Amino acid sequence: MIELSDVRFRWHRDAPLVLDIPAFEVRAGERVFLEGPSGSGKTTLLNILGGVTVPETGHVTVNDVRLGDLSGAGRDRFRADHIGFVFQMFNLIPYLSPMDNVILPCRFSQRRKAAAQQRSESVKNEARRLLRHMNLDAHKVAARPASAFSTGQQQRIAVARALIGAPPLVIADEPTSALDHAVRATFMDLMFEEVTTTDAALLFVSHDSRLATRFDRQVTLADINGATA
Amino acid sequence: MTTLAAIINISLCSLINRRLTVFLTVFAIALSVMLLLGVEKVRQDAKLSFANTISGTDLIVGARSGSIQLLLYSVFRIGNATNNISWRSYQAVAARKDVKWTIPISLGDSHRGFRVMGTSETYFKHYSYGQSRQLKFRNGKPFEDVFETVLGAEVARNLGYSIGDKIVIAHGLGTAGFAKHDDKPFTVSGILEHTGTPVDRTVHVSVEGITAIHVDWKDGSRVPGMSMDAEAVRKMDLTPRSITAFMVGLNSRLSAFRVLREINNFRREPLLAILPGVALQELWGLMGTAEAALGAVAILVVAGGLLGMLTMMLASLNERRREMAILRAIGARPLHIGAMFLIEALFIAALGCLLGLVLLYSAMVILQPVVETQLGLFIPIDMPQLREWLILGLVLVSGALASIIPALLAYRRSLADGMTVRI
Repeated sequence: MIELSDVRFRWHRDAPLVLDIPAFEVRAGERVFLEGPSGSGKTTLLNILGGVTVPETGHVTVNDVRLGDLSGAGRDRFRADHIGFVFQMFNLIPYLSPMDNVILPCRFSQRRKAAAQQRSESVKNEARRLLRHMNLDAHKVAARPASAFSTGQQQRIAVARALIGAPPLVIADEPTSALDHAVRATFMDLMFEEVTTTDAALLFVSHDSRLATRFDRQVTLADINGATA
Repeated sequence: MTTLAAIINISLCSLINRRLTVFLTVFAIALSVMLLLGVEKVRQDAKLSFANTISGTDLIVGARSGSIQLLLYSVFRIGNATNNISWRSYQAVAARKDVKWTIPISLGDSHRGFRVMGTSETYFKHYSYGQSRQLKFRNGKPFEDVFETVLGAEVARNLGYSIGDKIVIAHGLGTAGFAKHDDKPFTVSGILEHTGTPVDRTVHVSVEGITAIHVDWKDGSRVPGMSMDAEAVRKMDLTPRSITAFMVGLNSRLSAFRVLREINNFRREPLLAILPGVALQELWGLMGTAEAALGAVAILVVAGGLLGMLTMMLASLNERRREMAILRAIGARPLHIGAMFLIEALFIAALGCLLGLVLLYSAMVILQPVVETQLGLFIPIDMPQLREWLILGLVLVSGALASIIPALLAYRRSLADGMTVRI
């Protein structure tokens, strides 16, 4: 699903390398826990995987597509079609309802819209199903803006949004760091359940190594990134 | 729903979320649009109203002064004459072979704030306005008796007069005429149809009537010990000695310049003859600078409104970086982010234009009767004309152009921030 070879990145020519990854791979359906302290280049790596940032050298292949071969607009389209993101916090557009937030990726991706329709007849039905699955009553949450919900609820809505239209890759950037222990466990259960259902690959970035046991594989960024060695 | 529809939807939701600041911005633009369109409308309609006041009159003749002054007091009842002209001179011009008709004008008195004009029955026959429209009577008929009067539509409506009512003319002008000709009241014989010209605000009497009420007056006050009742005056020779001005209709317009020159060289008395159209053009020339200044102020106010919008958008840019990052993460291109700002600006400007139109027409509905009564200016309430639509279009385009700055900044920031923002 993800294949990095000889990827190097620095912010400008005279700056030190931020990333120097000779090889890194995530297989289809695999759940990988990527660990690394703050400032180790995690966010930069996610931007490269999403096609927002272009590496100085090397190749990034996602779902058998080499991102370097795509134009800027092509990478944006590819990201919309194939990758679902969940961030640490502030995942939602505050003035849209949870339902509108969840269906947002389908506005930018015909592929995900078609997949959502195929699964639940309509995009809205699929959004309701995902929200229900995240223990949120779609009817109850419909009238309020996303900003009216607790952090835990917002993170669950963000997972529903990342998963709508069954993208083959889900990238989660420290999604549990703002959650307390009890909510975190429920959140992880629900996310795993849905990722398993869609058979999506999951790249879970965190510095909380206690969560690592639930994953197929644990990778420490420092081990694959020569720049931090 | 297409991507563009999604972007529009997000933009509108974002505007609703910031409704207070957005409303204030829209309101500022609406006020400026109202001012700009209002200035334009008053400018155009005032010109039209002035141009429509007189038609078919070839020359206006008065005492030698300025052509604009003569036009203003004789046709628009604005200002006063510096001098009168003699009745003999008037008759000499009226008797010319090339003169088809004349209308004498005698001004100087008033009735409850409305000017009284002494004239003759030829006024109702030959005076025309707009596209050669003649005066029509809503009720009654022209004056026949010395002490009969014909009221303009606005005078009758405003003061609630009808046929047969008696009115008293005051000496001099102004709403509080202390010296009144109350011993010689006039009976309303007719009320004219509404014309949208100063005729509506005029009390018309015969020139003989003007002479009659001044028989026992001298230098602006009643001659002590000399009082003549209406019946006694009626038997006198009431041919006036002087009048204020007169209008002239010629047999052929081709002779206008020759007659004009000859009247201006009239030996017996210094007279001034003017062509109404030429004097009107002079008036526009005089007003041009004031018009341009007023227009410039209105344009600056619109620019101020649009600058307010630009400030609001720039101020919101930083707090919306997370929103932009989220949109980038789900596949929005930087171009989409820029388009959001453009759409928001267009929507604000369009709402401002729409609200501005509503405010303008509301103000017109409320102020139209007041303006007509107080200024004698008839502002018709009609659909916006092509020029006004063009102005609105220009405001929209200016709004879109102003939004290019925040749109470009948003575009660049979303490129730099990517999917994650650390604020």
